[in-house]
Amino acid sequence: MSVKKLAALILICVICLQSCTQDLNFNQTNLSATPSYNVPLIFFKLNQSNFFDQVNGVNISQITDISDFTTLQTSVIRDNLLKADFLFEISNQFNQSFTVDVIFLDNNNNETYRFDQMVIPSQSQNLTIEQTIMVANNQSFLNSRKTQVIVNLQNSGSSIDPNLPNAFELKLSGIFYFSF
Amino acid sequence: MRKNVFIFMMLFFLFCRVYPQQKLAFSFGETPQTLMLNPGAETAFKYHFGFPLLSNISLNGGFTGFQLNDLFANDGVNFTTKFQRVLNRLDERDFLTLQAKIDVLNGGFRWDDKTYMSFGFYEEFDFIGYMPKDIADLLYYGNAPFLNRSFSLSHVTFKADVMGVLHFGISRKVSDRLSVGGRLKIYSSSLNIESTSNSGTYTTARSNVNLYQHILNNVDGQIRTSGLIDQNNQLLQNPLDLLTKTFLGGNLGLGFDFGITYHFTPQFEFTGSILDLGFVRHTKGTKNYSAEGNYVFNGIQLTDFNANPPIDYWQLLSDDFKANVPNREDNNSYTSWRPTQFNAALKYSFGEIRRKECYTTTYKEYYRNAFGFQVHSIFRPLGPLLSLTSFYERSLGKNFHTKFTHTMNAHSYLILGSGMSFQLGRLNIFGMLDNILGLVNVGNSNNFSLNFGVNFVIK
Repeated sequence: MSVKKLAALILICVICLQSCTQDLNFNQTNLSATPSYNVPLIFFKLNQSNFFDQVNGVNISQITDISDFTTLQTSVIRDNLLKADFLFEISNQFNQSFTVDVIFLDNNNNETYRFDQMVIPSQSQNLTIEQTIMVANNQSFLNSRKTQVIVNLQNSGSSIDPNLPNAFELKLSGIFYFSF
Repeated sequence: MRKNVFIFMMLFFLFCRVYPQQKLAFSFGETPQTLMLNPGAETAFKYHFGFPLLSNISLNGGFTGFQLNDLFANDGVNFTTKFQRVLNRLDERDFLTLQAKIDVLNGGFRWDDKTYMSFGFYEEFDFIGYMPKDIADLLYYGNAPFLNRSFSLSHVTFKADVMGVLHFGISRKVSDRLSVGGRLKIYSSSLNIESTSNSGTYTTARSNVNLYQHILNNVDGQIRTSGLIDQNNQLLQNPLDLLTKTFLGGNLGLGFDFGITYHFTPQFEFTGSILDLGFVRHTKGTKNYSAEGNYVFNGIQLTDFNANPPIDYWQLLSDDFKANVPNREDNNSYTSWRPTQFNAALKYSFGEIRRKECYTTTYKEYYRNAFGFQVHSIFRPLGPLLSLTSFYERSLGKNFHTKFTHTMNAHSYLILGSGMSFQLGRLNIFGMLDNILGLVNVGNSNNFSLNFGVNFVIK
């Protein structure tokens, strides 16, 4: 085969293959992602002694605690969070009913968001409650850095017996939805 | 002997993963640069020297698991949809690789009738990163859709090197049938980043303590670096330092190449080589990170209601995590193994015979045509990566030689390549291009290989 023939053959092959070339578009590369992350947040278990002042022999009507809520510390999360589902599972073996308030606070302890108050009847088992925060309607939630939990003992007229093994248990996990 | 070679090659194919990288210049004996791929190659030169920075430039790269069309085809399909299809298709053995070599200096001279010496210095960049499939899924989709799925941290595997290589080789003709050769290499690494042999899983599952829990199980991960972070914990400030350290100024290592050419008959030959059998010892500018342990996270347990001052639960959690999954930074020395390569080829020459005057008064017999098979393998963190090529060589005149290849791999049975070498007076110019189809139809390609050089050759 001569050099000319070889060159002609290569040229024909290139022309034939060129016709198979498909257009590529590198301009429309807007990638969107909508991940969702499941995060266990807080849990606690209270017994009857937590609600009884043994010194004065009276019920303690309210107890509260504050923990850090670090999920929103990162700007990437704050800027792209769409909504958050908060899943509660609460069991109350007490003969008394309770109300539970969960409040989000900023670094200066200013309230940024408050869930609807949850009423927990006596003798409730694995009561599940879901509360959702749509970030677009609650921008101040993004400033949340702490979570405050307030458990109120409803006044039933009966006194707490600290010797009973009854417990009040709360579990809270969150599912955070993002759009990048 | 032939049977043994055949069995060896078949076993190699069985145990290796096919990889779309070719070394077309291997066994293409008319270029002096073939000595860099096989120090046992036969040479017909009295001496040669390459144009500085131009004697041998090679660039090859590719990825597996998808093609450009899958992401960028102008077909009206949403890019996110394409991305998700590709992400779902990829697995943890898919990878991205890029290699570049530039000969700074290259030369050689004949010591005696049977011995040829070659030497030089080249710069090399080498990267391979495997698809961290589970981590990518976790980042892109989140953990919520994947309850009870164990995301493996072992999928995080990558390695990058920038180094200079000073080398000296000897090629010796033992008999009319046999030529052997070896090359000593001194590596000077200016940059190394590698994370291999990671293990452990991350799982989100239902829990009895809280509604869900995060589980880190048997986590053992590490990243080793040298030349990336200085003593003040600053990232590499001046990229030019990468080049200046490559001439014996970086972390040093030692390596060897071995090669052989054996003629079963005057027309039927076997060539083989093992390249970069060596290591680099990283002692300067090292910075390593590691973490290992087990941890189950159920959220923060509130324990002290009405406490004054309130308890810093987050600090307690952080301390507990560090105690169970300690992470360390250190400046320890470490050894990095070079990606050893294996080449082998069987070639049968035929057709019109011609005699070529060589460096002495002797003559070497050449045939105008040859065909054969060759295999190239490179040892990577997750095992050898293999390419299988059939080729046809044709001499078009005394000084113009061509090579045409067809390579099969895991993604395509039709990867075509070509190479040529021609002598213009004392000037030897060679060029190799692989995946010609990919060149004319970029969308359907996922690998490329380019190699060319200019050398002076005295015969």
